[in-house]
Amino acid sequence: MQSKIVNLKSILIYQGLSSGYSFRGKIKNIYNGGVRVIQLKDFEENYTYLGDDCYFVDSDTIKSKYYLKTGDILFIGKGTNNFALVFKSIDNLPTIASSALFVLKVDKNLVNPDFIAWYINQSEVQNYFKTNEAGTYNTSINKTTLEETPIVLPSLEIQTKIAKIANLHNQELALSNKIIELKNKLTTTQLLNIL
Amino acid sequence: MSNKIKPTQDQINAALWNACDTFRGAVDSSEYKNYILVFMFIKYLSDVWKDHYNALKEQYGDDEELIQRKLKRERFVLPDKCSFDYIYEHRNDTDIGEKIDKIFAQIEESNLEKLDGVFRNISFNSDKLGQTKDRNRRLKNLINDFAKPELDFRPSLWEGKQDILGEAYMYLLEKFASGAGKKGGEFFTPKEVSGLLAKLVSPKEGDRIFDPTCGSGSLLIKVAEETKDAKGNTTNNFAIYGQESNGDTWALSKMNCFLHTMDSAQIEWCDTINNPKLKEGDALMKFDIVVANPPFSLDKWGHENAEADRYKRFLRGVPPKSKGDYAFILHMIETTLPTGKVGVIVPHGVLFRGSAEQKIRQKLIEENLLEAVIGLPTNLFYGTGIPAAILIFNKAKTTEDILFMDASKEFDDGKKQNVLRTQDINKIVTTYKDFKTIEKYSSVVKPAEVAENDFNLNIPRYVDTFEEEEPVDIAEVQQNIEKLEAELVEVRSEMKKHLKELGYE
Repeated sequence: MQSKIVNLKSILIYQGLSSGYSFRGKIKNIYNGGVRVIQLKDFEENYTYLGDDCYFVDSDTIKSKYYLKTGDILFIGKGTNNFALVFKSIDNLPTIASSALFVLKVDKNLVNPDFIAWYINQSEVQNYFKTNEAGTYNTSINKTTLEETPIVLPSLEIQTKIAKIANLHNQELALSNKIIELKNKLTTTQLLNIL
Repeated sequence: MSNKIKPTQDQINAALWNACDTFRGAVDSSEYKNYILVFMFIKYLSDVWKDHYNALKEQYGDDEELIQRKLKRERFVLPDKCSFDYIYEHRNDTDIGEKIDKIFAQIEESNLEKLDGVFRNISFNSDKLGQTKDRNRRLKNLINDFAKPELDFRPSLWEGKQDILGEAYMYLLEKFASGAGKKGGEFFTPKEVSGLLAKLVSPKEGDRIFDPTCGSGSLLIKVAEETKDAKGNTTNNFAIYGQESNGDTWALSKMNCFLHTMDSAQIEWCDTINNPKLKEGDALMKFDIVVANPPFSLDKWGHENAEADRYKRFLRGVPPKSKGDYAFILHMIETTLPTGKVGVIVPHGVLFRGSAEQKIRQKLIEENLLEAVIGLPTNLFYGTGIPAAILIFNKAKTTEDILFMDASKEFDDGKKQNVLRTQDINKIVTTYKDFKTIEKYSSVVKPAEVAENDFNLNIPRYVDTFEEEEPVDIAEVQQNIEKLEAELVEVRSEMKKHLKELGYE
């Protein structure tokens, strides 16, 4: 089957694009807070993983419609690095995205969210963002721009395979980095112990 | 007494801040702050006057002569046709600027003892406020803003809670300081820092308190407010003195004291180092408590006259030409009574710079004057991000030891500035009072140890705050590496498998 080009809008479910929860003012970490907040700082390993030291906030004021589900794509709308990442439920704690992020819910009958996230991170779409970003110093991608993002769509089967390999590649990178880090620590300690 | 609505502190602050909009854009904030603050002061005088006039009228009825006679004995005397109401009535006049200036001159004239020179540098008829038409429009706006019910300063409305006004004045000063960029630190010490310093020097009943570089008086007033009697209750039994070199800022400090009802404050206008004004006979006046936030490392502080200083303040050594820190410190020490205390905010360079300053430090330590060195967090002050330290000198030290404290890690990071929280301030004060070593926070040091360190007071030399590194278990790390490498092989082979399916060999 030939790949076709569609708008991002057309593969979203109804009301599938929203921005993250907008806190008024600074987000303060609350010990024992009930809701996890994903912020830009939590994107690790070149925006491919979510770190495990997210902030927590009080749960009373936040409506459950903001809670993220596995398969939601988080897109960084603010700043120069406009990358996407698929959210995977970490534990059963409710999790929300901060306002710098867009939350995309795609129709899983049409597309594989991992594939979409991977594709958004590739140069084709990144160039599209560069030409359409708003703002001079602190750039951002607005909602319309994001909705109009052209997406190349192969069959669902190919999408799944691509997503799989892309994920494995990320794992490979993460593992390599971890190994380098540990080797560094090991050698330094070994050499210092000689003294 | 028609309206009795009582605005909150926040409302007053907001109304005052909004009044500044009149000048924004046309005049620089360092200029218009004087206009706003002076206007606020006049409004206050006028409202107090009106209030007392009404009270007397109620008491004595129509006996105008008696009322006028009584009013002559007010804190401030407001001559005829000098009230804010008069200004308000004439707000549409074309010569309103000139009228206001005349009124100020008259008020100053009638209260020479208190207000001599306070309005010297300010003219509402100046081209600074724009050409006549613009100026009149701006002044009218300003007058209208101050006529708002939120800015009704009549004491009867406040039931004696004068401090609300003082607070509002301080609030404006702080706002201006934070907006003034580099110049901000010149006239205002953040209230948390002045509060901390006040608690550290803890003035007692009857103390004489002095700030040789008092700026707008915020630090001085904070310290005075901290005065406690023998039972630990706040008392008004103190005397405050200050000196400030900038004429505009000096006027601000005078008004600040009046708004805090510290009328007896003696604040002089002149350079403290070159021309100390507070004297008793030929000698410098001495005080129980001397505090200051002197300009950090002031260049051209008056080195040329220091050697032959007639008050002999620099016998311990003459500070370097381009760094005036020790000139202020020595002045403070010389103006302290043998039972008194000095609290001074200094940049860290004061702790470790060499040559002349090292010798001065050595003398101060050998004379057993230095009591505590407290390192503060970075970015607490307006206009500079550098970390500062508080030095406490005590002329009546009971021990030889010196307390070092590293309080630089505990603060709340604010938007523009870092802020000391109440718990941080309390911790510093308690540690100072207890004079105890707390691991990774404070250390009681013998003078011999300081001498060993060449009288370098750099705090990390005495307070060890380094986090120890976790010991590395070599075997475990090796195992981890092997495990990860195995995983990596697995991931790679799986990738290969999937790629093959897509047609890549």
